[in-house]
Amino acid sequence: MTSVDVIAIIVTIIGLMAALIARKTWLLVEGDLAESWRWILPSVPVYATSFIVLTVHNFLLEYKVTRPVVSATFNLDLLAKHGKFSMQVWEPIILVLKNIHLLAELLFLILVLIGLVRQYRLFQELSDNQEDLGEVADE
Amino acid sequence: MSLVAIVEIINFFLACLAAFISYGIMRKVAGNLALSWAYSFIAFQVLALAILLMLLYELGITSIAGISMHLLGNTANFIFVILAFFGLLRQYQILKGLTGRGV
Repeated sequence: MTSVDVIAIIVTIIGLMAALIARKTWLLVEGDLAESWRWILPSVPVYATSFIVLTVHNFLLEYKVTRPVVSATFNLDLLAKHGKFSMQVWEPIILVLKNIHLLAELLFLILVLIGLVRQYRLFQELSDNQEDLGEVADE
Repeated sequence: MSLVAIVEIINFFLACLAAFISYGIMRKVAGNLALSWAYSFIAFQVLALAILLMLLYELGITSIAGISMHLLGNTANFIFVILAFFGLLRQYQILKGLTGRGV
């Protein structure tokens, strides 16, 4: 196991702990703030999951093969015109895992952005209300 | 350009956008709450850096100053998750103090 794998495992564990705190925070709040936390809450375990996938990907890289996993050759005979069609598949699981890790990271960022935009709007409203109250008090 | 590189570029811009929004929220709030959003602001910048490092790896740069790009990327992700963890913990403590409810 390399240092890269060890760091990935630590990141996963801390990510899962952060998800627990996000859930606790969501249980504390109500109304619009709870709505924004509802989007941020699932994003943290999604991030941790993406690192689990990355760790599995790195682990499988050690067992990668140097020849095709599947190799198929077809002979075609269309009205006596011969043709050959061959297909090779190389390490499909490893390639798919890398893509899943990236797409999980993309999903994490989309969920976080929705939550952040909602929180920003909420704090903007609160800030505007506070400014209005300040102006009324001055008058 | 591979699909992985394209998704990395999209992720990089989304992480930068998240950092900008965190900065916007940080300016709207004050005190301890602003400090917790400062954690988030720095965390998303570090995440954008981590994604940029992985993008460079996809584009063919395998190491910087002899250090593997994978190690640099994972270290940046480690710093991100630590900052995010403490940012979330601080927000939880503030909200717990404000609401007076412990879960």
